[in-house]
Amino acid sequence: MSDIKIIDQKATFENIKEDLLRPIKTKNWKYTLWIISLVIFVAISLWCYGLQLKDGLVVTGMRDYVSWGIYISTFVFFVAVALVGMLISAVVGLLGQKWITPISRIAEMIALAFVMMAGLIIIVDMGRPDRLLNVFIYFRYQSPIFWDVTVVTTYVFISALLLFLPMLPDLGIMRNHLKGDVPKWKWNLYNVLSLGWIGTPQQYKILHKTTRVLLILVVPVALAIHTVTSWLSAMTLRPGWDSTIFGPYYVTGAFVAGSGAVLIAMYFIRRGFHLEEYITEVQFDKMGKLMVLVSLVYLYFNINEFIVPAYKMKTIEAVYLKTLFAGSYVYTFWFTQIFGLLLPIILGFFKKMRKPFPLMLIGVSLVVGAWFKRLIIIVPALIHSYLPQQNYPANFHGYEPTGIELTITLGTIALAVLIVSILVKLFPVMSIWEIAHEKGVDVEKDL
Amino acid sequence: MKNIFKIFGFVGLGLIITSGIQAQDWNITSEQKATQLQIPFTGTNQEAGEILYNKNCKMCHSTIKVVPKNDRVLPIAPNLGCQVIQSTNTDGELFWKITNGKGGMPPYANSLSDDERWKLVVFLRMYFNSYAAPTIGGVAPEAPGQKFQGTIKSMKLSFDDKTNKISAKLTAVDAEGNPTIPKNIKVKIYVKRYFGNLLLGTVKTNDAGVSSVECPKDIPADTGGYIFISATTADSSATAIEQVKFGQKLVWDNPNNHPSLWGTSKRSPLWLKASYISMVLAAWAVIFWAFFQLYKIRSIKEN
Amino acid sequence: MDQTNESVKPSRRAFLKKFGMTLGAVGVVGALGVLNSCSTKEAGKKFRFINAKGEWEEVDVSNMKLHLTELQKRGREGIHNKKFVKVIDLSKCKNAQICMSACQKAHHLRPEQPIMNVLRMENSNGTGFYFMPKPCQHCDNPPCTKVCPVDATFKREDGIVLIDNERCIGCRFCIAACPYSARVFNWSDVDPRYAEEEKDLIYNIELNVPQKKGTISKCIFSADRVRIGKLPYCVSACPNGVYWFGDFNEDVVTNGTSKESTRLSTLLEEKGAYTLIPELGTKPRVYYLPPVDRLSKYDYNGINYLGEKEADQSEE
Repeated sequence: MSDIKIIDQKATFENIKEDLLRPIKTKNWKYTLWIISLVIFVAISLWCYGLQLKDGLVVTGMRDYVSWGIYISTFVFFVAVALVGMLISAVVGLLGQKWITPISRIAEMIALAFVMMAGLIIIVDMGRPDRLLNVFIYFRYQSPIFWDVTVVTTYVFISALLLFLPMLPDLGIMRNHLKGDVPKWKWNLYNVLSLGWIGTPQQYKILHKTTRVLLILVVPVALAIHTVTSWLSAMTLRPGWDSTIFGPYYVTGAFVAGSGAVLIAMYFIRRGFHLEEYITEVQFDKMGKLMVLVSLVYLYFNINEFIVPAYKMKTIEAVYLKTLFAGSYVYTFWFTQIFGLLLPIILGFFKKMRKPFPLMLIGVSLVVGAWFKRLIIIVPALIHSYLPQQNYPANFHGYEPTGIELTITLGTIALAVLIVSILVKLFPVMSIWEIAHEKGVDVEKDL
Repeated sequence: MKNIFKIFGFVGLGLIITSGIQAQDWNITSEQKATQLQIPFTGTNQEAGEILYNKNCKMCHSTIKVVPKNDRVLPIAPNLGCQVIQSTNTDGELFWKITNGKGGMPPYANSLSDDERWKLVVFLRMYFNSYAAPTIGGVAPEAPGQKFQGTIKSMKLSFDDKTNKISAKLTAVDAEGNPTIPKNIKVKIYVKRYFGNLLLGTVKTNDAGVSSVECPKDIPADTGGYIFISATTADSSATAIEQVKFGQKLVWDNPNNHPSLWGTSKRSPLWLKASYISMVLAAWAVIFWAFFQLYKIRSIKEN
Repeated sequence: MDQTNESVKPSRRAFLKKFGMTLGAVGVVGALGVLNSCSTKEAGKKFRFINAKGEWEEVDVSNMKLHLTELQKRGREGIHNKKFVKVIDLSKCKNAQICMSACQKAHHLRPEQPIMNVLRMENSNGTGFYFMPKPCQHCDNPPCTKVCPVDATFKREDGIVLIDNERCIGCRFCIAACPYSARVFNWSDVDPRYAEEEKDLIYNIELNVPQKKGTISKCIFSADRVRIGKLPYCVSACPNGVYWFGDFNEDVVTNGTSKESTRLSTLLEEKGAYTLIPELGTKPRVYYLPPVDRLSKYDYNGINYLGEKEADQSEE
């Protein structure tokens, strides 16, 4: 087996189509089991959310000092991972990199699922979810939350369009070739979604133009979504959050988390759907390099974020930093720095480590590290107040997430994974027509 | 209401606990007990003592009333006008009790000077009917204000911008019903404020039955430039209230009328609103344009 | 055997019922706004509210919405030409905590929600302790109202920062934004001690009662008392003369204990007043007079002046 798949003359439309549509046509008990377990988990967390609705947020570990806990840190995590769609398709794609073709759709699917969950977990965190509409009725231009709601909504739509538009020719192929192979409702879905795609040059022209414009638009919107998310913290006077580099600090951190998620998804989709010929080691190698690059940038921001206040040790900042470096959050902090940042960078420098399996492990380390990193950003800053914390019960001083809270949080993560899992099985995980074009196969004549 | 009792009960309990220590003495030596009044029992000292009392003691001891026995329960400290307390304490004892304190009563040794504490003693003694004030440094004691024998009929307030003085003119009748001039009567003159009245001064009426006090020019008035002033005699037998034009007219620039980041949505700064709306319009224009392109793709039919 | 069976069955059924109910509840939230109308509306039912004169009035359920609107409008407008200000004399405070209990009683708060809190402060190592009552600072540049997404917390023209629990969505951004930790959240349902009292009570924004689950609560300078020209609950409850309260525009503050009034500017100038953490630029409307010439001994060895042992006070 060679490292690089050579574009050969034998590649026919029939082969490509067969390889990429196979997961859609076939049934797989492992996949069914995976989906069922995810659904059960989501159902359990839904029940926990019912308890939270009934009793109020008292069922969580949050109290008056640490009033934002793992819900908000998971929200930041979701937004961070969702940014990968923009990184892969827009930044790398617009730079003319061809190697991203097989993974750009996976990135877009992850982006869409995670940004939707970001919106959902904000509702979970709300004390009065029944008043969600107030945000649109009584909105305040001055509030970062309103900006956040705006950009998240915009990003959901752009992500959906960026997933859907390049899929139109594929949907046309599926409509034409899958009739009878899939249940009728599925075929009807493809039929409706294909929007009567017939592959005329005019349609391709519109498709290319629109995709390109959206790819340009998604860059500022994605930057905005994560910058505004960072502003939710940075716009306050809290030590630990009161930082001017929070925007870029969050954005680069998001690229790291997103690359990790894509690496995991690539590995399992490649293995599960037997797509070794499409997601080759080239893709892994390049993704590994990209991961090292964004991690290095993130490392630079981390150094700035911590060294600058740690050198000065202003009273209240000092208390906060001591908690991280050597206090109650010492293990979490060094875990995120070592496993979420330093180790992946060092390992990523070795060619042997930029193989599928090691990179998948590195991806897991990055994603887990990224989640804990968000926790480290949100919670310790809230634990320390300017004034002493007195006349409160003991459990108001720290933060310990409860079982219900953890279950709900994990449930939203499971739901995100579930959406990605359904999307990859419902639609081709990579663009048939683009792959065919790259391999010099004419799609239109087979449509 | 129940809770208020609970609170009082609690404070009371606390004070009773501390008053357990009350069984211990005030720790006053016989030498201290025999200390004589150090300042003359004059009107000036009485008034100074009253001001000090209001500032430092009234919060616990409340208004003094002449009664035979203490009529107050904890947490209100004893009524110092009670004749039992007055007769069993010497001047020296009162002075040293204020100085040293005990239990719930704080020591005033550091916060009030010796002179001030003696003024308090002078003030307290005004309520002791059978008090025989000593002559100190050749100054004879003054009786605490001869009670005016007539009945005050009316009080009229006026303000003079030239002298910048508020005057209260009193009229009265004597026991037979003939008009008489109420002299030497204490009148308190206030500026009315939202939560309480600001005392401008307590002035005795002159030979014409008029008591007048100078106004601070910088006192803020309402938006029309008016101030309500009021006056009352010390025994509240006559009161008057008047709206006069003086003081600094209030020019109130409501900060909520200006655009600000902390204000309501209606008060959002223009730059913020404009940049938000323009950015959202731009992004959504592209999104709608993309949807329109989808529609265009759909409408292309094979020819 | 039978007994155990019996005891198991209902609990299982109850569990299923609960499960179904909660699932149902989730569905309800999906259809937004249903929880909003949690009060049942029976015809002829009477509701109580406090009118502009500070008197209780009873109204029919049909007028409820109208009166709520009136209370909201009145509460959001504030009192014209006023700018309320509080002065706290630290030299007088003996940690009696009566302000705290009066406040909690008035606003139907739980003991663990001290929106008026008396803190034991030490400015620097070895500088000695003093007690500092800490209400909301009602800043002129409030970081909390800046971040509120729905105008639920806002600064009225008389300077009071209020919270509207009919609108608050419970995002708790304002808690994160407040550097004085002045805000608390209603994590759970109403305190059962006040359940009876709150029945049929129309929400009064100026008193912030009834407290509502999932919303914010905070010190509101007793806006209901201030409206009728009375001093706030904490101010008039203090036995030690700590609090002065008044109108900045009138330049006069009144002491809650002695009821004595004095010129605000003179008081601030003579006593060397300061505001809390002024470097944050929040411009507080609460002034502190330094804890000098204190009347009582401050070395309590952990015993406060009521003779009670103080709660565990872990200093961060």
